[in-house]
Amino acid sequence: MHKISPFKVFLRDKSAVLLITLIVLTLATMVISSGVLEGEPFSALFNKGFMSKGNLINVFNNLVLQIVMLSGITLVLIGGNIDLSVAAQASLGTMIFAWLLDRTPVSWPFAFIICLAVGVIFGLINTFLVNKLKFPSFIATIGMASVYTGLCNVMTKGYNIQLAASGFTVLGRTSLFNFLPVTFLFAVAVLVVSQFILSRTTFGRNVYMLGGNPLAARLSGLNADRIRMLLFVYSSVFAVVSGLLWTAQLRVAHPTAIISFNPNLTVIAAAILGGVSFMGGAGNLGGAFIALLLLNVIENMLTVMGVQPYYNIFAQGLLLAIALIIDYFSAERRRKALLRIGHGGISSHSSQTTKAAAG
Amino acid sequence: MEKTNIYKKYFSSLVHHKVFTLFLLFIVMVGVFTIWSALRGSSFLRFAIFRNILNSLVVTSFLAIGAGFLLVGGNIDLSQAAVGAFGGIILAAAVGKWGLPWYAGIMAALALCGCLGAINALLITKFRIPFFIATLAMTLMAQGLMYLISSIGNNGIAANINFQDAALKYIGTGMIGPIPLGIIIMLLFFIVYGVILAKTGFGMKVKFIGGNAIAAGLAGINAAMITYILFVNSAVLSGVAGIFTAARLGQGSLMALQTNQFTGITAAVLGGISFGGGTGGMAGVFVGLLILNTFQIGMGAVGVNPFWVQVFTGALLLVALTADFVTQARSRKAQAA
Repeated sequence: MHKISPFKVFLRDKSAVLLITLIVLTLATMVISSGVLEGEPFSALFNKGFMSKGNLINVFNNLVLQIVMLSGITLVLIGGNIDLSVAAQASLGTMIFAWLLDRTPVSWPFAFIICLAVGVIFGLINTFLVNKLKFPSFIATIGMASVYTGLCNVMTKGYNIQLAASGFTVLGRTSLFNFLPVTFLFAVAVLVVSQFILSRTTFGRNVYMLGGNPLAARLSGLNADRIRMLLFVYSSVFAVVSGLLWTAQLRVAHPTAIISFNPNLTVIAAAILGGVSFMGGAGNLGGAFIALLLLNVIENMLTVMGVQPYYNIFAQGLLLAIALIIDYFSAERRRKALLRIGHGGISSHSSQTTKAAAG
Repeated sequence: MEKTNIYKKYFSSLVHHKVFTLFLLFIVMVGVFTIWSALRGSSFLRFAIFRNILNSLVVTSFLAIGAGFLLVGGNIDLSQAAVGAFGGIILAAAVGKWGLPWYAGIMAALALCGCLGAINALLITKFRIPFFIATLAMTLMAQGLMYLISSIGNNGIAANINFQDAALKYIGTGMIGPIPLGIIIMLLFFIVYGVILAKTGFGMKVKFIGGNAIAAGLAGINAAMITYILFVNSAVLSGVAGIFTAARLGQGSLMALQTNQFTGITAAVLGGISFGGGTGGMAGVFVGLLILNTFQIGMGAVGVNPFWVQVFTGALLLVALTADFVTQARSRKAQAA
C-alpha cells in the first residue's frame, strides 16, 4: 500500500513552500539583526533589530495598505482581469478625503462615506470600459490611472493637505500591546472576509469559473458582466479604503506619495507569487498573503541588517527571482509526484493529492 | 462600373484599417490645435513644432518597438524603463569615469542590457514564471545594479554621472540638414522592424506564437528561441532609448525614463496590437506614439496646465481605443451584411 503522510501532502501545497521560506527568513533576520551572534543576551532576539517595537510598527504600518489592496486585486485577478489603477484610486480617494476635511465643514465619518461612494464610482468606470467598450482591463486601468494621477495634482496644484487631528487620525496611530496597529487588525479582517467570499459563497465559485473559462461560464448562464462589475467595485472601494488607512497613519495627504512607491505592482507580484494565476481562475488569498509577508520581510530584512539601500533594491529583485525559481522546482516535483500516483493507480489517494496540488 | 468597385474595395479596406482611424484622429488633433493656437495669436502648423514632436518621439519609440514586438508575440516587458536607465548609466560610467571611447561605451551598454533581456527570457521560458512578475523582479535588479554602478568611485553614494563626448553629443543632438539625426535613426528602426514583422518568416512566426502558442509549438516553431530573441531585442532597444537620453543630456541620470514604464506598451496597444498577441504592425505603433506626443506638445503649445495634460492623456488613450472599438464594430457589421 502506497501511503502518503499528511506532512508530505502539506509540502506539496504551493503555499507551504512560501510559508517555510517566510519562517526561515524571518528567523534568520531575527537572529542576525538582534546581534545574538555577537554576544548579545538571548532576550535581544525579541526586543532588538527585527523584533524591536519601532521596526514591528513600521512593518505592520507598511502592510496595512498592501493587505487591503491585495484583498481587492486578488479577486479581480482570479476573475480574469487586472486592475492597475488601484494605487491612483487610493491616492485620489485620500486627496478627496483630506480636501473635504480641510475645505468643508463635514465630519470625518461623513467624508469617509463620501469616499466609499467615490470608490464605487471608480469601480463603475472601470466596469464600463471593460464590459461595454470591451477594452483589455490592463490598458483601460492604465489609462484611468493616468487620469486619476493628473486629477490628484490638479486638486491641490501638487501640494500636500495636512489632516487636522480628529478621531480618524487618533485611530490611525492606536496600537494594541504597543506594537499591533488597530488598522492592521482591520486590514486582516478585510482579508479574511475576502477569502470567505471567495471560498465559501456561490459568488466566489462563480468568480473562479469566470476567470478559469469565460466562455464556459457564459454558456452555463453566469452573468459575467455583473460579476466583473462587482469585482471592480470591490477592488476600487478597498483601494480607496487602503489609501484612507494610510493617511490616517501619516496624517497628511500627498498627491503622489502612494503612486510613487508603486504598491500596485508589489501587490500583484505578491498575488502571483502566492499562486494566483495571471490569467484568472486559480489561487487564493492565503497564498497571496503569505507571499506579501515574504516580500515585506525580504525588504525589511536587508534594512534592519544595515545593508546599503542600493544593494537592497538589487537583492530584493534577486530574492524575488530565486523565490520564483524555487517555486518552479517545487511545482515540477508536485507534477511528477502526481504522475507517479497516476501510474500507480491508487485512486483513493490521488484524488486527495490532486486537490492538494491544485489548491 | 468596375472602377467604382475597385475604388470601393480599396477604400473600404483602408477605412476599416486600424491605422486609418488613428491617422484620422491625428489629423483632427492637428486641426484642433491649429485653430486653438490661432485664436491665441500663435501658429501651430510650423515645421519647428512638427520637428519637436518627432524629436520627442525618439526615446520612447525604441521602447514602443520593443514592447510592440513582444506584445505581438504575446508577452509584456515591465522592465524596459529600468533596463534603459541602467544602459544610460553604463554608457555614462564607461565614457565619463573609465575613459573608454564612445563606441565601446555603447557596445558595453547594449551588451549588458541584452544580458538582462536574456535573463528575463530565461526566467519566463525555462522556469515558466509569468512575465508580469519575472520582469518586475528584473526591474528591481536593474535599478539596484544601476545605483550600484553609479556609486562606484563616488564614496558609495549613487549619483548622476556627467560626461563630455563630441560623438555622443552629435548622436543625441546632431542635425542632418534641418532634421535631427535621432529622427532619422528612429524612422530607420521603424522601417526595418516593420518590414521584419510584416514581410519575413520570422515576423510570421512571432505572430503565430502570439496568436496560438500551442499550435505554433505543434507546428514545429521553437517558441522558446523566439521568446529569447524578443526579450533580448526589447532590452537592447531599451538600452538604445537609455543611450539617447544620456547622449542628449550629457549625463547618465538615475531618474531617466522613470515615467516611461508603461509608455511602450501603451503606444503599442494604442497602435492596434491586440492584447492577446498575434496581430498588429509597426505603422500603427508609430501613429499611436505620434498621437500621444502631438497631444502633449500641442497642449503645452496652447498653454494648458501640465497637470491637466496628464489627466487628458489618460482620457485620450481611452478615446482612441473607443474610436478603434467603434470602427471595428462597424467593419464587423459591414462584413456580416
